[in-house]
Amino acid sequence: MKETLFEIGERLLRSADRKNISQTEVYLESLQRRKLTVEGGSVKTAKRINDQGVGIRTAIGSQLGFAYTTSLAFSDCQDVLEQSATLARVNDEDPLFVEFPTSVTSYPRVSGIYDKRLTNLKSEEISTLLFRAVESNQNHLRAGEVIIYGDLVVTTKSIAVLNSNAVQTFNERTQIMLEIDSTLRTDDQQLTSYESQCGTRLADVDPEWVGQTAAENTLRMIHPKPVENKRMPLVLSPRTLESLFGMGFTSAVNAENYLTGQSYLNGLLESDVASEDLVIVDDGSLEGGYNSSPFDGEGSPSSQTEILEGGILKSLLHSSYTANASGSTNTGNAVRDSYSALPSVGRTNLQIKPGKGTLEDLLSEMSEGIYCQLSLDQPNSLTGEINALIMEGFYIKDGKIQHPVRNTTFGINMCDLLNRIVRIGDDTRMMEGFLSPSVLIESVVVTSD
Amino acid sequence: MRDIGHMAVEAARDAGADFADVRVERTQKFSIEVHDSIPRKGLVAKITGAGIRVLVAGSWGFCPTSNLDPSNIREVARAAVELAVSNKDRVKKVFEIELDTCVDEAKTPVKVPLQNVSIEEKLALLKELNKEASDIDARVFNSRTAYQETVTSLQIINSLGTDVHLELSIPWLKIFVAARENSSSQRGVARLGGSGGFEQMNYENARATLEESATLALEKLDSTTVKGGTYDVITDPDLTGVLAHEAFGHACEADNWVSNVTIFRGRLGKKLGSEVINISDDPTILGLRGSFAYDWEGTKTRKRELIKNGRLNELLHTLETASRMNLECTGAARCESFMFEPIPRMGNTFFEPGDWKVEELIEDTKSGLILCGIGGGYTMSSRGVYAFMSTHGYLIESGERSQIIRGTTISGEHLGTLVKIDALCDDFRMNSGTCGKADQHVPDMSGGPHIRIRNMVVGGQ
Repeated sequence: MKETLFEIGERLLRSADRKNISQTEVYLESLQRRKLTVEGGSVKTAKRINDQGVGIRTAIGSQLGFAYTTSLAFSDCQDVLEQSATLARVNDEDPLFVEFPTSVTSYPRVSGIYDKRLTNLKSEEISTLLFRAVESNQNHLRAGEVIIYGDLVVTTKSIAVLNSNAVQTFNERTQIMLEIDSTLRTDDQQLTSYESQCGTRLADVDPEWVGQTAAENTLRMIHPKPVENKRMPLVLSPRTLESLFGMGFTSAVNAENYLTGQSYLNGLLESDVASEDLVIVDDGSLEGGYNSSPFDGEGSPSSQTEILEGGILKSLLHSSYTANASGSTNTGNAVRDSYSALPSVGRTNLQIKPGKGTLEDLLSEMSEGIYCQLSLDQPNSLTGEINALIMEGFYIKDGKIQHPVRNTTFGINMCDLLNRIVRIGDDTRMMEGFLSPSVLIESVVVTSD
Repeated sequence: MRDIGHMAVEAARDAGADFADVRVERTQKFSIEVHDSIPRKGLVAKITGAGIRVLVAGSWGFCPTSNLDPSNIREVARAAVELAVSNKDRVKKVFEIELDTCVDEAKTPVKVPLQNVSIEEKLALLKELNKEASDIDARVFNSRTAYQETVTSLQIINSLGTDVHLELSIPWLKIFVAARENSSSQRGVARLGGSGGFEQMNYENARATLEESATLALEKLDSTTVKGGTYDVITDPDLTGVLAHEAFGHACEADNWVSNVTIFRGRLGKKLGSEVINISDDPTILGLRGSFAYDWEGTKTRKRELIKNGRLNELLHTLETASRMNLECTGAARCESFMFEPIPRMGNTFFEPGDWKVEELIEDTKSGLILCGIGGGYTMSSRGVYAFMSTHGYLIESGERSQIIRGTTISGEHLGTLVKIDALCDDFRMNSGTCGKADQHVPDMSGGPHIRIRNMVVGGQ
């Protein structure tokens, strides 16, 4: 695959050179994804997706263009090059654009991101893996009517980035994602929860654990009640922190937002913004990281970026564009979902570094409080305000779980939340490009039905 | 495109498929935005491919491909059958697709084709709006005008004889304005979009969208945060639309019913709320962003009266859900592109208006909140809960609209909400958006009148 993608890329760069395009970047991708969905103990859909395409950025002076197509046929690729250049020609100059990344002598060595056993999985093996999780779930949910939904996605992705500044790099990655949702219907209520696991290697997923944990999560949702409206401490699970920090903190330290005043941390670079125990790092070269790669979406080397340490906001996340525009160091955070997307600043593997203590240790510190196991809300990226529905959460009294909460929200501003982190656990788990333990917040406003 | 579609279906039948369908698609996309007078993120795209789906003894196999060479199409069709066969022993309930076949073509009515307007002309409009944003008020410090368009040609063929050709044209403009005064920064967002040609993006409409966005950002500079609690809430038409979409529309998508997890299970035809409540989804209204004549399985679509006089009346069906439930297919199958299989989705979802005047309703409410704008939302219909976010609002004090408040989150339970709605106004507006489900994003609209909901949980700081 590497030779094929490089050959197309090199021919396109030569073609661009003949067309007097000042700078050209070719992003080529070939992806194979298998997805199996099971519902009610029966296969619902089996999919096999072969997705190939090319995205081409061109610069004529500082006028930029981008085009993509869902094909790697050379004639289609040439059309895309022409479309990209046509857009660049009619576009205005971008005074902040300097250049696409220049060649580097070496890329970091990133291990644990390709597992050929995933690429070679047969459809029967995929089915067996998923049904192991379904059966484990079923075995732990014996009472009442049970409806189980599961899906398993296995992806192999080959990416090549070449540009006219001598960048030429290739990488092959695998990913696996397994999820089980279970619904238990009893005489008087319907309980639902889920569990998932992801990784880059077959061994990263334990079907029995996913099935069993989804069942345990479901059983814990029995007899939810509202709680009193007041200020209380709050423990946030890694899953909730994925929305709050993976999305909501990343957007605040994204240089594209920060440099245009669109961040609730605006003007606070190198200032004290958080509890001194909070350490946040983005690491594109993390061993076995879900979003790890030797290079980012425009061929810059991946790196480890210390964003927050000792309470100080130490660095933003940059692409080559924002780094050049602001005279900063490129952190290798130009993220691209696929050839169809322009690179934009985003997280690779964002990590909240662990402290000490299990979830139970954190809960035991609350005489009265809430444990939020699942919330999907994110803060307003400009003001930092968040009012989040607690999708799965529990009322805690004297350090012990009392009951699930019903129709309950918590509210806080992210700037306050960062400062009110009083304890960080060591129960780290990996999600899609986000690693975090549970975290205890001193107080939030809790509102309930 | 038609030949390719027939070729795929024939190859699938020959390989043993009980049923096969294919969507052959050619789409052109263009998007660009002007951010503080600099054009950025310009993109043009050509998307070509076919999504081949087969059914063998109740087992689906789905394989999309962007290579439309006849030999590849046949090979992919056979691969889809192999995939379906490999799982057929794990299927519990075999079903057959039943449908009324259609042979037709339908085209979005267009006055000024998007392809006939140059990139320069589109860019000129965005730049003009961006410039005007900073002239509106000295407190405006940032503005972004973002335009995107999609022109799609789609051929839908199935093994039972359906052969439908669709031409779709969807332009969309979003304007973001940020304003700052002292330590307060606030953002306004407004959208302009339907289906049609560039006539939808005329200067007057676009300028009105800019003013809506800027006015909102400026007004919110004086806003305060709301205290969390339970309030009587009047939602404006934009937020009413989000409620229609999140709290009811998704719960009426029949895949939730086939999977047997919906909290509305067993309530089809039953009363859920006051007789004054009517919620519909209607893709047949010309010119809206979620409009189409045939769905992505080639079923002729129609208005769906989801909640009629307070009763759960009908659902949003694909061929599979209608066949499994032995109900009429309501033409709700949609796909983001050929890369995805069809699933039940909404088009244009709304509460039908009532007869209250807005000011009378505020006066009648005495104390509570008016909550406004599209701040997002989500639902989990198996849990029976939803949340949606306002962008701003107002306190109601002594029966009058008073202090402006910031955006917040409103949460509720599907089954409990309809009984809390007791008044609908006689005004109406639809707003444009994009709905995400199962990794697929499709254009849609939602709206309605101002409505009152008693005792809603409103999050606070």
